[in-house]
Amino acid sequence: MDTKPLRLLIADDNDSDRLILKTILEKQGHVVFSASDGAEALVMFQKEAPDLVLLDALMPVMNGFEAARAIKLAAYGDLVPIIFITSLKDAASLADCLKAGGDDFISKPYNRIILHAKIQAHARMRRLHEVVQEQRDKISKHNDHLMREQEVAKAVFDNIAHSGCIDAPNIKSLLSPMAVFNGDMVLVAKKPADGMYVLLGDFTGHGLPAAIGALPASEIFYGMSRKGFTMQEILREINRKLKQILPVGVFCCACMLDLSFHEGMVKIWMGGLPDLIIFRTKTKKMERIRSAHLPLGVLSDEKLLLQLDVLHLDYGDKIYVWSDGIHEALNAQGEMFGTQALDQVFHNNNQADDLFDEVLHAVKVFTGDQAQDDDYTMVEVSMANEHEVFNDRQDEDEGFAKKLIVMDCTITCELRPDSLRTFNPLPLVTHYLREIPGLKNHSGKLYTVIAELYSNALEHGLLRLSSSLKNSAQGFASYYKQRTLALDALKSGCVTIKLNCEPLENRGGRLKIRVEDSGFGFDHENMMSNQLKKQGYSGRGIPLILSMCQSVIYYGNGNAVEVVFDWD
Amino acid sequence: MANEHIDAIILADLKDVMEADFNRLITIYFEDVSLRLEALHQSLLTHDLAALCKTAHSLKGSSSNIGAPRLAELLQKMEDMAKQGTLQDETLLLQKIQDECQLVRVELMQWMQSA
Amino acid sequence: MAIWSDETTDSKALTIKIQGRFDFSAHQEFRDAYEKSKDDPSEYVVDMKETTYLDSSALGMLLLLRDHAGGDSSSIRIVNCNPDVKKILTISNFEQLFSIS
Repeated sequence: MDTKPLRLLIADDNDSDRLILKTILEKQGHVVFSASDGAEALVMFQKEAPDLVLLDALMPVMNGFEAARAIKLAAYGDLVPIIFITSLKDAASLADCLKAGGDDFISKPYNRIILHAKIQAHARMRRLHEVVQEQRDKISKHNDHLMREQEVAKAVFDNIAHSGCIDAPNIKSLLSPMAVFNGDMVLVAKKPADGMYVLLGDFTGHGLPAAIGALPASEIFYGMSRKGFTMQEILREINRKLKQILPVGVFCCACMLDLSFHEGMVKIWMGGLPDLIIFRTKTKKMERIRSAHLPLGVLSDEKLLLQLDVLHLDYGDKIYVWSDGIHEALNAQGEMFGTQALDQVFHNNNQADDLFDEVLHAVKVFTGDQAQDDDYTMVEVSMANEHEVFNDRQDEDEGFAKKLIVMDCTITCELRPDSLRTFNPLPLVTHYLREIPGLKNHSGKLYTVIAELYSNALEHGLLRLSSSLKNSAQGFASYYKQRTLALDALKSGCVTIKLNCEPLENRGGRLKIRVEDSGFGFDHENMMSNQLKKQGYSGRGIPLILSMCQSVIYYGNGNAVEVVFDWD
Repeated sequence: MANEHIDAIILADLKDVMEADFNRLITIYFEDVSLRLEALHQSLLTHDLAALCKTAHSLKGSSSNIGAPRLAELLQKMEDMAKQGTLQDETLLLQKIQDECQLVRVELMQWMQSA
Repeated sequence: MAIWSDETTDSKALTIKIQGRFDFSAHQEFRDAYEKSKDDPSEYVVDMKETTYLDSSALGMLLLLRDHAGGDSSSIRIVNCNPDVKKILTISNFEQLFSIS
């Protein structure tokens, strides 16, 4: 008989029976331990840890049933088959054996063949059980390992792919702590001069592979936002990076918002996320912006499209962006929450400020007890005032800025058509300004000034776009369309930015900013007097610049302007 | 009622398994039989039916293993009576059991002596 | 979820049918369907007639197919889409990369 040798425990109070059984089993190749009563059997079990136990049902000092129960308890998670030896014949007694924890029974007189067969069958079960336990333990260990890895990764991620200014007063968000491992990312950065960028990203997949893309994306986002790059430039760079590092088939559905508080305007880019909703608090009307682009990381740079939706927003109007977790939230029947249910929440709303919570509540009610808010990512952004959101526009210390003393120099930057189309000089200029001691705290203001002057020079001076278009909400959108067309068609001309920095006696220094375009100029004298009365969307303009600087003077035929800024 | 005092097939099988230990086994069995018979006697005297039942059951088991079917049957009767709680001609039955034990002993001795 | 593929008689087009949910569990089978094809088809057709659901990993798999089929020079048609499937493809603007019907 080719059997695998086992360790067996036998218990029988009858000496001759015990001897017979022990001999039979040893002949079958097994190692046998014998006990003469139930109590002894239990002790032996704990000492020898046999693979299988054969117990006489009726024994003194602890009968077979009690012993069986005790042994099963002692075996804990392991499967140790117990075969009752009994000459009991009635079905009720045999059933009692099984109830007591026995797995099988065998009768006297012993039948060697049946003994062998039953022992082998139960040993097989035991081996199977062991394999399952091993696998379970392996899986459990593996899971623990993964969890620990993720915790470490999360700590790293929190330092890089952080949520920036997500706690700003005009933002409400639902984002699980492990959101980045669901592939979801929400980034919020304040722009140097006015407003904020918000980026919601949903990477394909789950876990670390999904989270990896968030690292470079957020570094680019925060780095470029700080330097004053435009939304399109940031999106282009993120797309390029993701396309480069992510394998084919892995991408990031995203939505980016460029909010300008001063102008009451938002620019939107949507690639692969569900419809964004704009809720006008006064009229209670809803507008949807659908995703018009492929997700980030799919297209090469040349093919990437960056058309934006440009909308005017009144104070208090709200924008809702989300990953598809909300729409695909499932209830017990496996049905999805869906767009219609979402729309219903908006239709039923009375108080705009409650909307965010009402949406979440509706989802919770729908999904019932198995609600897992872990997988939903949702952000509400309200149009607000600059000072409510960022009352302290002190720029953060960048840490590694060199202590360069650049107080006595001139920098000139001349941009011709190709550069005007593709290059944004503002970050470069801002960077330079931040290097000047004393100017760092004013870099936000100065960025505003230079941005305005550059935009005037390029758009009005060179491209000859009319600023009156910017007076209406619809006008804004068409203005930007025209700008793109005109810029693409530009064949000649240039814009020059010149920064001159020199120390002042007794106090700080003086910065002269001169912006010149090769256009025909304009009636600057007329404009200057009108600007002071002007209200409307084209907003800040000259009055703001005047409020920040010592002087603003136009030269030539209006195609050159010089601004003087003194600091202590 | 079983025909033989001893089932030759069982015994032959047993001898084959036990090999050199066969005689030792028979001796142990005999010792057990003496003890059990004494116990049966005591249980009847004290009218301890539970003990009677247990002892009869136990000896029945070992007797069936040793290949003494008639003896096993008699012990089964004793066991059933004790379980039901109504003793009837129990002394007679015990006598029969004792007699049967003696007969089995004689036959087993022969098996011990044969090669 | 099950995947079948067959080629036209002149082996110019390979059709891949997806039944049930098209999600991450379909990954290997989907890849095998086009990678293990003996010929080099000039066109691919993805038949979604019996596809009930599509998730982002399925979108990823379509991109992998496109890459395999030559990227920008590939010719892939996604056909028989039901409204749910079409919606998902539309939100991701995949009609910019595939011919969808």
